[in-house]
Amino acid sequence: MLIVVNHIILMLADDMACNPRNPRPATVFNNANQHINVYGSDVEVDYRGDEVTVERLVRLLTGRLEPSTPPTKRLLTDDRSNVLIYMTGHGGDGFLKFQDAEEITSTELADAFEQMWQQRRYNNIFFMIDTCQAASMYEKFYSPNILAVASSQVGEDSLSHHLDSSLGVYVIDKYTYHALDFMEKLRKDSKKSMADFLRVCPRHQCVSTVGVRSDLFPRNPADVRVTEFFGSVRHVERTDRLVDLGDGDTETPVTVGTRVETAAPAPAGSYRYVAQFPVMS
Amino acid sequence: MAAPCGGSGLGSWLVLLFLFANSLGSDQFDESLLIKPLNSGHVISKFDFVIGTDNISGAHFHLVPRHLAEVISHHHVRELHLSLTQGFWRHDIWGYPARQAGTGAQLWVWFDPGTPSVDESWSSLVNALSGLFCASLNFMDRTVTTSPEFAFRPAGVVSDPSELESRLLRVASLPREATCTENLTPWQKLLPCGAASGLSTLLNPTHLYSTSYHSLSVDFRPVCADTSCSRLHYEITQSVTLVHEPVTTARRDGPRQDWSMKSLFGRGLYDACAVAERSDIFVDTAANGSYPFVLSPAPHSEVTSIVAGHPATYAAYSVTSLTSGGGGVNLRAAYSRPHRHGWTPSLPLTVTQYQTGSGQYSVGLSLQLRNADRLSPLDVSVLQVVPWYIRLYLHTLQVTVDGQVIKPVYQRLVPGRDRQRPYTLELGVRIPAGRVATVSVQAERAFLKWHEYPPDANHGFYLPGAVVSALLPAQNCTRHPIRSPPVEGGRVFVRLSAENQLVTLPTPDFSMPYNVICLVCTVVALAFGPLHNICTKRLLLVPVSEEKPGIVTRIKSNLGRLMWWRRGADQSNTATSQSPAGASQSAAAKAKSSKAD
Repeated sequence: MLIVVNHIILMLADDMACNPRNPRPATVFNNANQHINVYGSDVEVDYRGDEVTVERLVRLLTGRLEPSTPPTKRLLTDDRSNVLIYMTGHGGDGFLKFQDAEEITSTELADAFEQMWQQRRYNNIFFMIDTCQAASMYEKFYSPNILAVASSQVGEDSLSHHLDSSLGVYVIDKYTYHALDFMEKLRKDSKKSMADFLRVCPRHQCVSTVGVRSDLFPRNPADVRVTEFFGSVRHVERTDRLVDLGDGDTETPVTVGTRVETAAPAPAGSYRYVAQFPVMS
Repeated sequence: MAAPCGGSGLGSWLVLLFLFANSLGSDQFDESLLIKPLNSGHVISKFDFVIGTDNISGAHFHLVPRHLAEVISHHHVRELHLSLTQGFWRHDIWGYPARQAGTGAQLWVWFDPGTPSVDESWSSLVNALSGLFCASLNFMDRTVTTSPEFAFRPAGVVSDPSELESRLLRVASLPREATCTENLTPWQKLLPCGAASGLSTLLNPTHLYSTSYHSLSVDFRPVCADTSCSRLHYEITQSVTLVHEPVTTARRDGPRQDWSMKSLFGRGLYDACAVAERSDIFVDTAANGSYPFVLSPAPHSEVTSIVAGHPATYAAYSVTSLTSGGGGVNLRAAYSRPHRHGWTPSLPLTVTQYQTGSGQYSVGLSLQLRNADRLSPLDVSVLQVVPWYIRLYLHTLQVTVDGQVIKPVYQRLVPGRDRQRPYTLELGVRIPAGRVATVSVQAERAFLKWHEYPPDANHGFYLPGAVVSALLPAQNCTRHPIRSPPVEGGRVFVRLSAENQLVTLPTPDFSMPYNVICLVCTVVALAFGPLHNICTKRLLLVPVSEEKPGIVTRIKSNLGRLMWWRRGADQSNTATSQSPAGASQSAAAKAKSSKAD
């Protein structure tokens, strides 16, 4: 796990792990041999079920959310954040299906990224997509600093990796399987570059051709470390200014620019419990 | 949390004793696990993590989780009760629950009288909670929220009658909400010891979500700080209720109800939470009479609690002394006899709900309340919330006993409004001794606008089950030995949920627009094209060109002349009937059409 959980926004349209049809509840394995439970004990799904719609995704990316939206459901990025976006599902030439009811088109996604660029909500975006004809989704991008990889070209299908006969479904796609395999071997201080990652799953493994769009990305992917997108690399700013932290006295509240509320004592009075069952006369 | 069979009540002197013993200004934390094997072969486990504090607002917190305290104080919440449940509590087999929880997500909140706008606080609160617990609680908008007057009275203390107005109460449930690891993770992070030590280490998702019933809940309420009840104290209770079925694993001589911590929770216990003042395990020994079991390690003490005149004995363990040896403890129960299907308890009140009717237009809802007591009638309070798209015919609401219509003791009916509020029915029913009362109502199914259907519209729409409350004898409740349930009039307050209903609404065929477009475009193309050609084009003779045509053209023209020669031979026999138009047509082997001038 290279990224801390509260830096991940996870949108799952279906409840797979706790679905009554899952013979091993609360588990989603990457492999029929159950090597890695990707639904680990610290997973946090931010948008699930009927909340996963095209409108909510675009609002999340562009920041046009209702004021009462909690922080865990907001993107909260700024112009120095590297954003990784991974999308998977059924798709076609220029669209990705949401919930079997609606689609997001490549133009919509490109416009959402442009809004993000104009609002200074990202430094670099790495866009991964694993669907059929996935390369069509990144063809319409026109904002700078986007590196995109897709599991198949236009006219090609992305294929599943293998079937788990106890579940009766194909558990993982070929591209995702090999990408996950690459990631699992990575450590936090790894020196592997994005060019290595973009070479994952060549045609003889994936059957479909992995597509890459790097013309909008200013640097050579061979010079960019994988950990810039897949790790929580903190930007450290050096300062020579002295900061007074106080003497650690917990009695006096430390005000650092904001007003701190002191606890108001509960008013004294007479309190009583009320009857739970209504009086039936 | 003043839930039936599981809240601290007025007579609970043990709770007040240890509240006295604590120093002011710091929080207290107790954790306990109650295991109750049943005669039916099931095992109920209830974890309770209780944090007591004097301070819920401000900036500094001791053991109270900051996220929850900030949400509570920012939204002027006086009481909060949230549950996330999977499975249905089979009270006819398992007895009455310690804490009522309808399947799905259920939230009921009492706000302070001084709240500027309760509706705004409610909508902001459900959004904050949805982010805190990773559940789609933000769908609890005004179309599913109600303010009942008789059900869900405050479970904590009040000081002023103005705090009891029903306008300060909001109740909502989402019957379809699933609960999975992503709900357990933030819930565990709210505990003082998290998932690192103490009883919460026994909560593993893979074992938790394989149970027949599991319910995660958070209850916040104000309580009395001492016997004089002149000061307020706040209590946050996080509890998990599980029902396992260990008897399904069969052995050679028959199925056994043997259970252990490893079989129920997946691991043993290694330590108690270091900041907990009390860390206990209680095993209810009520079923020891019919299916005796032996606990190992042996219990440290025996606790008897008498509630409403009914005693219950528990084997008690202190986790600190249990785990003091190091190396982990696996509490185990060994049964001497194989398990034959045990009798189910005879309960004073059983409740069931079902749909009636057929077709796509009308539907009926019936709630059956059975009073098993042959001597005295039973008063029952019913709350039923129906979403607006099941439009109830309130004039058909009736309570019948053996076909005879009886008048409810009280009723409060709030009709729903399309896309704005649900139907709220509150009834007080006096069920005669030994009889079954049926509350039934007819409804029509609404035809929604096309964008209001969920993605899998043919699955149906869920109606939350009725919430039924009554005062019942204490025999069949799952009771905590220390936190006894509220007792009123010598009986225990019990709240039950009936089954959620799944109703299909008339659903349009969503592939229709695509089909219509294809069909119409095909018809238009087939009909319009030739019509346009006939109207706007005319045939003109053009001379056949002198150059040698290509091989394909020559073959075609040879074939054409062959056919024409045959046809010409026939036509010459009927030369008199030949029309000039036909002659000009047959004269041209190739006719080129051109646009009319």
